[in-house]
Amino acid sequence: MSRPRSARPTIPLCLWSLNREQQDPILKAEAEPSWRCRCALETHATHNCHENHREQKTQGGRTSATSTLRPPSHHDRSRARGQYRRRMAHPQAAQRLALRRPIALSRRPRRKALRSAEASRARNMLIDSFDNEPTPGGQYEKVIETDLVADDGLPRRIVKRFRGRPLERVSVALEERRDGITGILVRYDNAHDTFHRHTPGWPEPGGQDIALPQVSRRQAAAFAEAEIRACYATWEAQVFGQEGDDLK
Amino acid sequence: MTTVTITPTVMRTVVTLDDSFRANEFLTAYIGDEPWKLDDLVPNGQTFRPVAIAEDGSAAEFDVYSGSGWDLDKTELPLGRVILQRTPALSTG
Repeated sequence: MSRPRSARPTIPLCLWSLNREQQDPILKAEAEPSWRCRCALETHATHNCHENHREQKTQGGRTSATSTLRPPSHHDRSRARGQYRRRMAHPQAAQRLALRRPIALSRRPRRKALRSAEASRARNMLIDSFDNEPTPGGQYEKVIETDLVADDGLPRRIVKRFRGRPLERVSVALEERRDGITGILVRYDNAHDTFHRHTPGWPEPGGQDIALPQVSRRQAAAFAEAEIRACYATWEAQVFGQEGDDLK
Repeated sequence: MTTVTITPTVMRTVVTLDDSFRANEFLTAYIGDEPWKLDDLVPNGQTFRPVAIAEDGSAAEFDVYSGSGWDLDKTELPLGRVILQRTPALSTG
């Protein structure tokens, strides 16, 4: 259990946190992750232990040293629920509780929203990906995508994959998106101990490999990119000449 | 965001695919055999998009966006800008 350095020992941590939080919204945000019940079973957000303590305080000043220093057990939870149900049966108390409850409840949607925003962003990150290709065995690759400005309006990108440190393998591919389909027009790879080019194809490159002179990884990447650039128009005409008209 | 280099040159906007390829060569040259060098340039999980190249072919400018290019919202503002300059050490010839 983490206790703030300046916490007063006679006041339970959760009560201290509540009081401080109500005063300062920044402290409220900071104190949130460290909220943990003394029984170390659940966080306060789900435990409702602070509700129990708060009710103890309101019930005839039961914040004496004996009551507040007693570590709240998880039995308090069911007791708190019982108190909550009894109080809800009383209209005035229910009204008071209704004013209080949103303080605790309002935290949960905010946390969920934050998590979902992070998750959606994480889904878009393709820079470090795991390639589980069976032949060479799975390994993490660094993927670098560069969007290309296309005057014909088609989104294209060059995708470079680098594997290993020191560098073992480079793959360079030209990807396009047509009619909602992401396809790889051509791919260069120096896997299987050869630097090769896959024949152009759509939406996957052809299965036939064309061996190219073995060069360093850096030269391979540079060559692949330069060749893509030089030959792209020709390939596109060959691949999409007739089929492209059908696709569009 | 780190900006590498900078010698003022006359830049022009990337408008064609060929311009994009030309600009992309700078990235390949910068990466070389050490793609993890890119982590020093921009944080992980970002996509480059070429926006300008120098008239004399000595530099290229990239906008950097968060996330993947396909999923990128076109209205999203770039996180920053990176300029790469061709030097003899970085040149791929």
